[in-house]
Amino acid sequence: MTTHRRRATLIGAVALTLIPLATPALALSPCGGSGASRLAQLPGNRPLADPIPHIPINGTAGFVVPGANSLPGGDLSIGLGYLGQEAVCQQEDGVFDQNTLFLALGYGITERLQLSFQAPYTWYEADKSDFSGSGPDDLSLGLGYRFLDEAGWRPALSVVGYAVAPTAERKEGLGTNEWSAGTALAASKTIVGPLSAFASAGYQYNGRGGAQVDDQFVSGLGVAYAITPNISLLAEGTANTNWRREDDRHSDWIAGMNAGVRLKLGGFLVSLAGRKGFTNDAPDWGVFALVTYEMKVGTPFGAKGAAGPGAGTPGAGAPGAGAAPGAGAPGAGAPGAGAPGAGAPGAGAPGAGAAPGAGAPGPGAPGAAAPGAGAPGAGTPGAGAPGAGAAPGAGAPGARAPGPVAGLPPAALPPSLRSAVRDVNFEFDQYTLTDEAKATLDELAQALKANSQFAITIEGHADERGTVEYNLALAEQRAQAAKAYLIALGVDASRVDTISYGEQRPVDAGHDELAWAINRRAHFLVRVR
Amino acid sequence: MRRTGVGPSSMAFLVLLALGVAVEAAVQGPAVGGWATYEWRSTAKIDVPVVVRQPAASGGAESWSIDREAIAPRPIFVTYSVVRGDAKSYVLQIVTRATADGKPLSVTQYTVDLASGKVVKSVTRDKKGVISTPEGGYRPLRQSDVKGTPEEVTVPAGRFTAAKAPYRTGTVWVSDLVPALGIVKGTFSDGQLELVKSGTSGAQDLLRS
Repeated sequence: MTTHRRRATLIGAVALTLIPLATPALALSPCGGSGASRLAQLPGNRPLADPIPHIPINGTAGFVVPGANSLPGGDLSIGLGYLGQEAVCQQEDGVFDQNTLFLALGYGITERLQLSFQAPYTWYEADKSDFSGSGPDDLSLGLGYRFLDEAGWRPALSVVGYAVAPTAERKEGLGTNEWSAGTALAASKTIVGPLSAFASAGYQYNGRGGAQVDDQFVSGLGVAYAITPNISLLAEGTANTNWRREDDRHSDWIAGMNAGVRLKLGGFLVSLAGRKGFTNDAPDWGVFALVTYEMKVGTPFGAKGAAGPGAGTPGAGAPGAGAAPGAGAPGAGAPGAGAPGAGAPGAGAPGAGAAPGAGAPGPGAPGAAAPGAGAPGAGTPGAGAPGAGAAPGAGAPGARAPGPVAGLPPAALPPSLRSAVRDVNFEFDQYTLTDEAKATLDELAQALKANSQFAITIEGHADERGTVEYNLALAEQRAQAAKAYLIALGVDASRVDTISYGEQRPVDAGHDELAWAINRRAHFLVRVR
Repeated sequence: MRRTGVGPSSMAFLVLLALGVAVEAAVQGPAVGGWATYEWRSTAKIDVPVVVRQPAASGGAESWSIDREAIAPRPIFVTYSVVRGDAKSYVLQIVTRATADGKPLSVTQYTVDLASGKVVKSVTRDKKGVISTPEGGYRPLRQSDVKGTPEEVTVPAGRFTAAKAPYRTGTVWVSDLVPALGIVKGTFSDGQLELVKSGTSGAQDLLRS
C-alpha cells in the first residue's frame, strides 16, 4: 500500500498552506482591542477576514501547516472545501460567523516543483449588528520547491513563494484590499513508524498600493499518526504575528490549534478538523472539511518516467577505444540504454576487478555495461587506461545528458553493481522481504562489498491505497527492512541511507493490481562516497 | 376431433423456455475452477543509477558522478481465476507474483454480477484480514464479446488461434480455450499481457483458505 504523496513532495502543500497562514487578514479579529482597531481600517469591518483557508490541498501536511512534500510530477489535485469560523465579541457586533467555500487546485510541475491556486467564496454575518456580506474572496497563487529529500536524520525541506491578490470586492467587506507576498521554509520528517511531523516558518510582506502595511511572521508545527491504512489523525499548532508599520509596530498574536482526521475513501482524500483559537486575535473556534481528488495529467517538464518508452537503445554504444587489452568493451549503453544487460555479453572490463568477475570500477572498468560482463579477474585494478571503454556515442537515443559531466563519455556502473541495482517488490501492506527480494539484495550486498567507493540510498515506496501517512510509514519500513538485510549481509551501515516516499512516486501510473504490484517497492540509488 | 401437434399455449411455453435458456446462456459466467497466469510487462520506466567516471585531470585523481537511465520494471506475473460462482454472480480472483510460481504479492477478489457485468464487491487481504479495495484491471472476455478476426498468436503458453480485436487502449487476442480471462495476449498503452500457463480446474480461493 503505497502511494505516498507526501513526503518528499510537499512543496505544493506548502504553498497552499502558507498562503493562508500568511494572509494578513488572518490577524484580524472582530473581538479584542488591537484587532478591533485594525478592523476600523477595513471597509465593511469584516470580522474574520481569512480569504484563504489554511489547507494543503494534497494532504501532504496538516490542515494548516504545510510540510516539505508536494504532489508527484504530472499530478493534478482538485479540492473542494469548507471552512467555518466563529468569533464571539465583547463588543456590539456579538457573534461573528464566517463561512468559506473554496476551490483548491494543485499541480506537480515536476517531482519537486508544485503550483498551487485557491479561489474562495465567503459569506459572513454578525448576530447583533447589520453586518453581513458575501462574494468571491481574494485569490492566491503559490509555487513551492523541495530542495532536500528526507534521508537518515535529515528532514525533507521545501521553500515556497506565494502571492495573494486583492481581488475581492472590498465594499462587500471581503478580502483585505492588500496584496501580499511571502516566502517560507517547510519541513517534513518521519519520526518513527506511522508517526511523522511537519513544520513551517515564514515571512510575509503585506502592502496596500505602493506602501507596506505590515510584516507578518507565520509558524506552525504538527504531527500525524496513521492508525490504519486509510485513517490518519493529525494535530497541529500555529502561531502567527503581525508587526504593523502603523501604530508604532504594534504586534498581534494569533495562535491556535487544529485537530482532526484524514480519510482515504477510494480515490478521494477527505479531511475533517476542528479549530480552536488561543488568543484574542484568533477565531474562537472553527471547523473545516476538504475533499480532494488527484489525477495524473502528465507534465512536459520531465517528471518521473519522462524518459518514456523507447528511451535508449540496448547496447547502443560504439566499441570503446580501450587502450588496455580487451578494454574496448562494446558500448556501455549507459544513460538511456534499455535494460541492464543491454550491452554485449563479454564486454569485459579489463582491469576491473576489485572482485573476480566483478568488472569493478577501477579505471578502465567503464565500458563494461552488461551485467555479468566483467572479465573474471582480468587485470589489476587501475590497470585500464583512463577512458578506456568509454564508448563514444554510448548515450543512446533518449539518453539524458549526464548533467554536471555533460560532454564526457559516460561509463556504465560496474557490472557487479549495476546488475544488482533493481527494484524489489513487496506484498500488499507488508514490509517483510520476499524470497525474490532477498535474492536481489544478496546480489546487491555482494556488489557493494566489491565496490567500496559507492554507497546507496534505499527508497521505500507504497501503492496508492491507504492514507499518505500510513504509506509513508509503510514505505519507510520497507526501506529499513532492505537496509537491515544488507547490513546483516555485511554491508557497512554507514553506506546505506533510507528515505520513504510513500505513495508519492509511483512507477506505474495505473490504478489496478498490476500497477500496484510494481509500485510497492524498494528502489536503490547509488552515490559515490 | 382430437387436435394434434403444438397448440398456442404449448408454443408459448416453448418460446418462453427457449428465451429462458437463451437468457441463462447469455449470463452464464466463466467456468469455476479455471485459471490463467500471465506475464505483465509494463511500459513504465524506472530510473536506475549509472556511474559516470570522469577522467583524471592532469596530475589529479579520477572522480565519479552518478547519472540515471530509464529501464523497464521487472515483469509481474498475474493469475486470474474463477474461484466461486452461482446463477447470479462469480468471483474473479487476481493474484500477483514476482515470479510465475512465487509467493503472492497480492490477492484480490472481485464479485462480478452476471447480469450487469459490474463488480459488486472488491476485497483484498491486508495484515489484519480481508478489507475492501478499489477495483481495476481486466475482466473475462469471450470470443463472442469481441468482433475480431482470427489470427495465430504465439505466447509462452503455446500457439493459439485467437480473435484479434481492439480493446481499451490496445489490442487483445481472445480465445475461448483460455480459462478465466479468455485473453491470450494483450498489448496496451501501459503494458503487455501474455499467457504463460492455464488450467481448467484447480483454482484455489486464497482468501478463504
